[in-house]
Parts: sequence; structure tokens; C-alpha cells
Amino acid sequence: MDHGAPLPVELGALGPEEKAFLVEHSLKRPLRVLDIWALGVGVVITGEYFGWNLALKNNGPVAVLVASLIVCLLYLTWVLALSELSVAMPFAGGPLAYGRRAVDPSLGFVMGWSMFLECQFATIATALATGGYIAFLIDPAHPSPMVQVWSALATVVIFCALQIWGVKEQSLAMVIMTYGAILGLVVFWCLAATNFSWGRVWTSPLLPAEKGWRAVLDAIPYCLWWLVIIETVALAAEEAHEPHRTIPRGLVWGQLTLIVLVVLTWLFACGAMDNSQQLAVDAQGHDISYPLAKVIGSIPIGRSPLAVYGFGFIALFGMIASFHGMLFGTSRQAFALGRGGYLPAFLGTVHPRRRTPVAALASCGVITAIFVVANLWFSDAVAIAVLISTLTALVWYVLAVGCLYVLRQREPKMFGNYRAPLVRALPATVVLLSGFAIYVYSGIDVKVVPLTAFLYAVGLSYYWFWAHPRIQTAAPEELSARRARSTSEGSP
Amino acid sequence: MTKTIDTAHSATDASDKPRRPAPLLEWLAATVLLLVAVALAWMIVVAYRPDWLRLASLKVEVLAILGLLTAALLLVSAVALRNTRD
Repeated sequence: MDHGAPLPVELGALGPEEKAFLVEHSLKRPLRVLDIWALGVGVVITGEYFGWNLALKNNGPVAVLVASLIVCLLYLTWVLALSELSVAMPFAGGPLAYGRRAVDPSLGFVMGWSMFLECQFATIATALATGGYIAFLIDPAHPSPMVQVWSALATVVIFCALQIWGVKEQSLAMVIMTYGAILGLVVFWCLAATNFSWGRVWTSPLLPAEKGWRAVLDAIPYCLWWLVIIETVALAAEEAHEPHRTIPRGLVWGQLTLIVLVVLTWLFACGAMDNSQQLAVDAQGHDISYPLAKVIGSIPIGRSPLAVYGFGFIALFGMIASFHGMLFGTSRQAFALGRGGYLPAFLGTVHPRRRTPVAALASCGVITAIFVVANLWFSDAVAIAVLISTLTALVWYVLAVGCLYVLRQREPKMFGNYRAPLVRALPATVVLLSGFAIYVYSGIDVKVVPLTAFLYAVGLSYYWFWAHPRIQTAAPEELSARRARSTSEGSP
Repeated sequence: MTKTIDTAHSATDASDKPRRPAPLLEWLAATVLLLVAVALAWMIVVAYRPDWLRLASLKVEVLAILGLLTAALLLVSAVALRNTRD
């Protein structure tokens, strides 16, 4: 049997049941820098294909550019802080392990639940947008909601099956799809450049007269979608070869690649359309989930079916690459929470031969499918899913940086393998920018704060009334925290 | 069989240690990040009090903010890339 994953403690120090639990719940470690880069870029690249365009509604391109650069800075600093945490604690649980070790299981659950919600809603939004692109390809004039739903469901089934097959195989698929997704954006830039005008980007007035700088604040929640979910890479640390090398390099290069993609996609999308508002809503006032295809279909070169269908086909690589990575993140978080006893234990089981979390993958797929079908009755489902995903992400970014501060003080040797640069300024910037982004949610039209609060209430109720006394003491995150505590208690 | 990974205290090969960024570059990056923080606070103020603390024109304000954010991105990128090199 292949148990490639190094384990978090010496097996000799454990009882037979704990040894058996760790061996039965371990993952392979095949991922290298290119895999981590591809996972980082691939999982996020859907942000270039849809979601960000909703920020243009009543705000204009300049406000979106400023908001986008603020978001880019947030994520650049965040991936560096995250690298430090994920190298120190290379567990599939990611935030669960950070909160568990820094404070207690309750914080671990809140952080793990936050990331689960972030990834789950991002998966839902991306499945819907993938269906939206396919529906647009089939009938550009009148994309059918039924085609969108069936295409989204097919995407869910295919990629759940692929990930159940094995992580190395899905990693190779991820690299190929990421290249395809980047190629799709290059094709888009080239096509959009044929109708480009600086006057459409550098508008007059620069910001809407009635909103002024509030336009930038209103654009930020949607612009977070450009880059949200890159932290999925932290969950791959348990499956990464030499995580202290592969995680920081893969994350930094991935983030820099994405910043270039963000700026160029914004530039050409806004510069090609006569009115950038048309990228956010259609004539009936519905949110658009296929903005890049909309640009191609609206400019003169889009009269050629080859341009519309050729781009639309390649664009699907971007959507499915991200969907693939998001499903990875959602399932690994559900797996870690299940393995630790924070969610039902069956979620923490792995396939005996392939070592993939089958139950977690299947459960995430079913939840995604239910929400995809519900889209038939909720027209702004994509916007809501995008906003819940980004808001729950911000919550755990702030908590994770708090854990980083606590652990740096209490267990400085833990970070011997990798230390992020700008030791004080960098985490402070993450907290500041995340707090700033959370603040602006109060001003946007789509109210997602009550729904998000309800989801937290559901999770916390389950934790307090059922899971709390049943936490699995042999899970790697628990063993790591217990060992740290016994070491600190034993030291003079 | 004894498999081991010490995630808390594992020793590191000296060749694996990241190169320390230049102090001047780090100082510049930290200073620009501080200026970004000030700029965000200013942005919130002028978003709700449009008559307060305004510069010469909206164009100057937008260019100043874009320049500051671009400088922050470039400096943090430079620091991060040096930090991940062998």
C-alpha cells in the first residue's frame, strides 16, 4: 500500500489505534513547484472569466482598476503570510490546523468552516458560470437557463470522478487546463484589441459624478473575485513534495502571473466595449456570467462565428480549470474537518488504494449540484455565491494572521523552514486590507451579510451541540497541537 | 517502520534557507505599505465627505492612488521574489 505522506509525529510515540488512524488517513505527496503554480493560477483564473464584471455596475472602469489593484495588493501580501503558515503546518486542514494550534479547537473550526464555505460557494458560482459559457456557445443570442444548469451538472459529475481517480492525475490535468485557460485569455486580449480605445478605459469623468470615491469601495467585493481561492494551495501542502520550497515559490509566481492577467483582462475588456455597463447586466437587467464572450460577441470581429465559438471553446478551459481547483479545495477542507471529527466522520475517509477523499468529494459535488439546480429559481445566484465566498474568505484571512502572530510569539522555532519577508508590515497589511474589504460590504446593494451569518450559525450549532465532544484525537491537526502543547508544558 | 515529520521543529538544510531581502528594499516596501494604509483611510473619508481633504483635481487623486498601489505591488513583488530564491 502506498502511504507517501510523511506524518506529523513519530509513529513510535503513538498507540496502535493512533498509528492505524494516521496510516489509513494519509495522502500522497506528489506535487512540485509547477503543480503548485498551476493549482494557484488554475484555481483562480475563473476570476478573470466572470464575477469581476459585476463591479462595473454603476462604478465604471477606473473605479474597478483602483479596486482591483487594492485587491491584488491584499492577495500578494496574503499569499506570503499564508506560505509561512502552510509550510509550518502542512496539513490538508489548512486553517483548521492554524486555529487549532494557535488557540483551540473552536477557532480551528471557525476558520475551517469559513474556508469550506468560501470554497463551496466559489465552486457553485464557477459551476454556474461554466454552464453559462456553454449556454452562450450553443445560443449566443438567447442563452438557455436549462442548458446552463445541465451543463453545470455535467461539469460537477465529470470532475468529481476525475478527482476521485487520483491527485497526481488531476494535477496533470490542472497544468494542461491552466495553460489552456491562459491561452484563452491571450486569445481574448488579441480579439478585444481590434476594437480597443483608451477613451473607454480612461473615462470622463474618471469616477461616476454621483458616487465619487464610493464607486471604488462598492467595486471591491466583486473585485475580490479576481483572486479569491488562491489559498486553496495551502491545502495542498500535505500533498506537496518539500513544502518549504514548493509552496512559497509556487504561490508567489502564481500570484504574480495572476496580477498580470487581471490588469490585461480589465484593460482589454473595458477598452473594447462602448459602454462597460453592458458587461455587468444584460438588456433585461440580469447579471452577466459570461462577460468575455459578451465582449467578443459585441465587437465587429465577433461577427465571425470562428471568433465567438473559438474563444468560447477555449474559455471553457478557464472555467473548468478553476472548477477543478475549487473542488479540490472544498473536498480537502471537508475531508480535514471530517477527519478531525468537526464534521461527520465519513467525510474524513479515503479510498483504500487511490488515497483520495471519495466521500468528501461526493458530498461537495452533491451540495454544488443542489445549488446549481436552485439557480433556476434565483436569478442572482451567481452574485450571491461570489459575495458569500469572498466574505467568508476575508473572515479567515484576518483570523489566520492573528494565528500567525500568536504562533510566532509562542513557537518561533516552528517557522524555521520558511519566514515571509516584511515580518511586521506584511501581516499588518493583510489585516488592514481585509478589514477594509469587510467594511465595504455594508455599502453594496446585494445583502449577503445576514445569509453568511446564518451559515456560520448552522456550522457553530453543529460544532457546539454535536462535534465538540467527539473530536478525533488522532487526526494530524490534533496530534500536532497536542504535541506542541506537551512540548511547551515540558519545557522549563 | 518509523515515519517522521516534525512540522513544528524540523531542521532545515542551510542551502534551503531563503535569501534575506535587501534592508533598503524592505524598508521602502514597508514605507509604501504604510502610505497605502493612509490612502485607504483617506479614500473612506472622501467617499462619505466629498468636500474634505481633496487634492487639486480628481485626475491627480486617481493618478496618485494608482501610482502608490503600483509602487506597493512592485516593491512587495521584488521582496517576495528575492525571498523565494535559494
